[in-house]
Amino acid sequence: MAQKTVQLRVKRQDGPGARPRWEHFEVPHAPGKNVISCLIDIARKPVTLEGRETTPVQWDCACLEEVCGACTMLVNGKPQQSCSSLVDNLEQPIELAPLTKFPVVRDLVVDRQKMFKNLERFRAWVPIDGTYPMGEGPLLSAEDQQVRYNRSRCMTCACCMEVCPQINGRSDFVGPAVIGQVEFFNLHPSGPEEMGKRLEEMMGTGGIHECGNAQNCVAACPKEIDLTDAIAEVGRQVTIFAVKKFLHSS
Amino acid sequence: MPEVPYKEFILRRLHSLTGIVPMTVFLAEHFWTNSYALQGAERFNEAADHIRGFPYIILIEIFGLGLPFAFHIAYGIKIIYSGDYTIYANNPAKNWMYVLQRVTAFPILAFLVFHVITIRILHGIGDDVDLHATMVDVFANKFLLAFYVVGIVCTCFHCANGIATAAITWGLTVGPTSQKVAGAVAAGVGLVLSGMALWSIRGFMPEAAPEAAEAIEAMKAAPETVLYLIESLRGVIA
Repeated sequence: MAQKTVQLRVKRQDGPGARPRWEHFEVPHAPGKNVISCLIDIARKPVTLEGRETTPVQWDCACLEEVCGACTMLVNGKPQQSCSSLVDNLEQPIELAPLTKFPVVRDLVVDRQKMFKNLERFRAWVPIDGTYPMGEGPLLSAEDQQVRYNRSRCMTCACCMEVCPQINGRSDFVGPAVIGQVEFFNLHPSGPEEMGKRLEEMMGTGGIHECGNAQNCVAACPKEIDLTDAIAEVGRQVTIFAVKKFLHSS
Repeated sequence: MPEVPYKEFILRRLHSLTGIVPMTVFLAEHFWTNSYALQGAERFNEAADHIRGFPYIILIEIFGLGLPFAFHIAYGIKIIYSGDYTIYANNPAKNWMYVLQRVTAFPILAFLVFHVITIRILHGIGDDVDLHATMVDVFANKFLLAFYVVGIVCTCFHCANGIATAAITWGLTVGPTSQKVAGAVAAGVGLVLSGMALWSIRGFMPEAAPEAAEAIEAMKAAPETVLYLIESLRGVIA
């Protein structure tokens, strides 16, 4: 009996700005096999289906349990984590391509720096670097915990950005994930300290107003974060902030 | 010019606001007035004359309608340009709404320009014109009737979907339940508006106004009316 195999088509790119090409591979099947283990097989024996020797396919990964977001790529055109993409659930040949909203470093590796820079820009942190111990903060209500737990699941995988029609070369929208984190940190007991700065930044270049309400983000999020609700909540915070700011402005 | 802080944010929110306040309110008023045609030509012309006779009407038209519309259109083109139009398979319904909101803008703009130029600007020049009879003549042309129906349906969809998404944009409907309810209410508003507008066309059918034929002929002979203009154009083309 012939051994069961998995066929893959991989979009290759030798470096930033290099011309992309497609390569066809075949690797042995195994029960419960995921896309990452197919890529490991290819790395062991980098030979295409046509028998031509090639370089190992490069990809990013870290946790291998769908919590770090690093291995996100387009699997059969859909952005998802390749670690939790099981071969048996996918149509073959499995098409692997890098995310399209970030610069490609090589093959399936993209530079998601833009997203991390935006988290910095929107102060997605709890300010604890004081000159004296601030003691324990107030407790969160159970209701707020529920909301924050949902938003805390974000792993900056950028699936939401990949499917967002407002993120492209003609618009510099920061994307849904960052807005979710703004809500997350504003809801922290220390939130009010930085809230004004976060919301003011949200009114700046590529801020919340660039959202076009296609609501693809919430459908694509592998962590089921209620991104539309987060955008609406931050939209409300920005509305109130902007009106107050105008009324107080000198 | 000094750099305006938060320029894009302010313009985008103004775009949302101009869609809701002048436009939706105006549509409701417009379709309500149209519906007088169901009570006869005289009632409709009375209602139209009443509105034309509003104090400050020219200021209302320019600053309350014309400029907000122009801004909404101009900034809308920028928004349309900034979007992507592939349908994401996981979310077809909402994604289609996003696309349709932008696609309907084009028939609406074509219809609006045609409608305002022929009916408000050219027609408005003559004082003793019979607006009802003009509309009977317009709808007698099956192509124009279809153009009006498409224009009305697109406008009402754009308006209803705009209400639902504006509620999210401004942060009024923050949770899924309120978003669903707002969506249903907005759909209801869209259905009522388009229903009112389409139903009122019955009042402009030639059967409903047999006496209009005479008025139409009279207007086609009077040089200051738009019907005269259209008739002359027809003559030129033929």
